[in-house]
Amino acid sequence: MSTTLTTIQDLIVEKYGVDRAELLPNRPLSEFGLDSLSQVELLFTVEETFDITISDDRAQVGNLAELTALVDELLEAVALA
Amino acid sequence: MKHAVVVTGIGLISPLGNQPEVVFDSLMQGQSGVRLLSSEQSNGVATAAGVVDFSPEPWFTRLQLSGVDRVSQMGVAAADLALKDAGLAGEALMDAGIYIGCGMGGASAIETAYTSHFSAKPRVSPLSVVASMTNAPAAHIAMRFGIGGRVMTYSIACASSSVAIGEGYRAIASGETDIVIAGGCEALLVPCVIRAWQAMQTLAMPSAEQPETACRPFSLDRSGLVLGEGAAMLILEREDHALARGVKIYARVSGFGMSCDATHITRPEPTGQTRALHTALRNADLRPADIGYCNAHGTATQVGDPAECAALREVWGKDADNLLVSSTKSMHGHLLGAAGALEAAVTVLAVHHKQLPPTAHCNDPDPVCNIPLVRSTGIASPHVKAAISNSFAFGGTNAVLVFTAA
Repeated sequence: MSTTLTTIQDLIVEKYGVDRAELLPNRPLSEFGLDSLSQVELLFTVEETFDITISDDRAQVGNLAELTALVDELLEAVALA
Repeated sequence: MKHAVVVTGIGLISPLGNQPEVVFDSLMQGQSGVRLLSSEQSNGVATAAGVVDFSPEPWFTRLQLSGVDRVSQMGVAAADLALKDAGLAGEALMDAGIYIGCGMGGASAIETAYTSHFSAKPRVSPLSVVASMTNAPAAHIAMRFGIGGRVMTYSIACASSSVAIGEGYRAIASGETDIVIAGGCEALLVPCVIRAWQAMQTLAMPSAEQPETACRPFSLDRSGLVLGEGAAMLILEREDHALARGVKIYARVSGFGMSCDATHITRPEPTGQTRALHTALRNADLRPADIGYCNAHGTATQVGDPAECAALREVWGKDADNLLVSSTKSMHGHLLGAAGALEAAVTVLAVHHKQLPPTAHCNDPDPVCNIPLVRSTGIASPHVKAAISNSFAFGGTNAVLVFTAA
């Protein structure tokens, strides 16, 4: 079943060629080899994929678990709007 | 003091392949790397170009490709091949320099960004700036190979990479450094840029049957220039440094001359070109009669080809009949910011092998282009000791490089 986490993991595997086994939810994004610029680009791609907007003050996410929670929160806000 | 400068490595990502010797053999046989662009790329107007079959995979992981435009990918690849050819792969190069020509920078990144910007839902990648900036290729080469000296980018239209090589040569000759990577890269075969060139009405009109013959410099039936893409890098090295390393030497860089027409943004001016030619010969301490081959700028435009021939006639005088000229753009297209570098590499190989590549597809030379041409297929030239490569840019800048046998 596709969840927000697996969708983001798919996206990273596809875009950056990172081994899926590396993509543990609580592991810092920098440990996947994503530097600060790549992380900014990842957030941009996540916004595109989920059709959401991540404001600058919410953009500091450290790992996939935090990013997944943020995406789910924003999706829920869109659904309630 | 002027130190002798030699070429010890060549790296090519070109419409005729990536191996210098294979590329040179193809040119000698008059083989063309020009083909029709896809209808989507060329906005539905039949347009030929020198396209590179390039995959970044040997040089970049997908993660590393983030924010790296095709032009930088090609630049890094060509630099890597050149360093390997020179036996410098993995060597400490912190004091070396990079002198790169690039006309436009990351055209694909720019096109993608503007396409989104003008769409119904504008969004632009946060890496658009760093992917598109003109000095990105040089920066990526510096980072990849740990090169910490002067990292320079010259953007002077069609003369960009000739100027880059000339300035790299000057840096070594003056004693500033021992090694530089000098060359250029360009990758702008994207629909909007193609449309802009189409609007200028300077592009060749390819035939449906033989699009590979679209570029016909010096020919009566020439119809304009053919764009190309790619990268070419030379390793320039102080001669005593190269001799101490015991590596092969392709040729010596012996002179460099520049001028600006200062008259018109596109129309070339023979008197300006003449000044660059004189300056290059004086810098090389050579006479016109010493030069056996000229790799011409020769873009196959109505105005440009006769102007160049007039300039060569003016400088060479009675010796013009002993100069052999060709434009290899007929086979690889006009690489714009990388043109001077690819043609410099071809000129270096011509001096090295004592073989002169031809102007292809010039079956009926224009009498106005009154200069001895190598045509159709290349010829052996056992006595050639020196050659020049001309690059004459929009904006009026003229650059001439002189190479001599080592």
